[in-house]
Amino acid sequence: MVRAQDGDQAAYVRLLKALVPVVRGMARRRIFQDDALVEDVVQDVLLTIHRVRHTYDPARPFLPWLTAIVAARAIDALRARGRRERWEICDDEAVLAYPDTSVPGAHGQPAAARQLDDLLAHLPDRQRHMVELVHLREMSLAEAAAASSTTLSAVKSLLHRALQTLRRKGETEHG
Amino acid sequence: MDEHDALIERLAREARPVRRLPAPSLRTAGWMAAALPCGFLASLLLPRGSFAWSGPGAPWAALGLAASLALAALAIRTAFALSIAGERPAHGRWLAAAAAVWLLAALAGVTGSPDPVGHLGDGVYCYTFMLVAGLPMSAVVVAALRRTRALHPAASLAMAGLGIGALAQLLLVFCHPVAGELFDLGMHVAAAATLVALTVLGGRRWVRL
Repeated sequence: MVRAQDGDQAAYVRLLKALVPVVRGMARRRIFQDDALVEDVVQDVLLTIHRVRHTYDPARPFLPWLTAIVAARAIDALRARGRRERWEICDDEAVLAYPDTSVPGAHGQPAAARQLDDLLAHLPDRQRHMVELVHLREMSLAEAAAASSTTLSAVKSLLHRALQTLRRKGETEHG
Repeated sequence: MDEHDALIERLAREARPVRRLPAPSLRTAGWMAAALPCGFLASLLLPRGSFAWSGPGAPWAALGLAASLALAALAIRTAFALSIAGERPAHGRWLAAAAAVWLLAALAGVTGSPDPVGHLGDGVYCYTFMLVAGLPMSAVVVAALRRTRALHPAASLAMAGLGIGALAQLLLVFCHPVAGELFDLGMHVAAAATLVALTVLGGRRWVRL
């Protein structure tokens, strides 16, 4: 970590790769039976380490620093999941019982839009919002960053995590 | 290849040498050196009351001033420490002791007053003074905490707000009669609570990770 703080990129890559299984193990102790959320936390922790790497004091042990970051990120993820589950209702039967007749092809066979909605429903709010801005409304990354009052690197990271989650979801369903 | 490898490669490409943080005590001293003049200059916007260290309440006022300074330093140091992952601030008891000493000194000052209770509306000047002096210091602390960000921004900012309240109180002592009143003391506490709330609400967006 000390070498990573000094700008040694190779050491930084080795450190982060070595940390992934450690962080995953720590996250799994807090998040049960939700591998997608655990992987989201792992990515979030990697980004957090990157952002606050200057706060690590080489005179102190590394593990408490890392553990505090993982704990905070896991709790944030669990809270966000709790909020989503509390506010979002997924009632497939009601959706099928009352099809939107204004959309051509919506009645009878599953429309592409509905498939897309189903896929996006698996994403956390911020990731879904970013996918909608960049891929559906065709905004540039800079426009999306401005529209959501966030940084360019945060937009990239949200999109990256969203695509990872969608890929994992696709593999689970088809694999 | 692990699914996180692409992200790791990208982060490594962005990795530049970073400047490590000074110890929290040094950061506290630096922050106080920067923030106190800001608070003092802002307080000049208001008319200043008379200041005389005489009378039976003067020793209590001096004790309250020392307690305010200690409380401010400990609270700001705790705020900086809380913003660092894995740091465990160990000043809880000292913070409580400094707050208790300040409160006792203030209550002792009240007993020496010719009108210990006071009247509704007393202390409006003190409340305004503390807010006017405290808000610039609040902006400085948010800027200082933004450098590290905070895993628990609310706790860190609340502690910083407490320190700012104590510093604003310290500045107020120099243009305040040594003998206080209960209503006036209540307004001091209300101003400190307002500063805590404003620091948390105003700084959260800038400090969170």
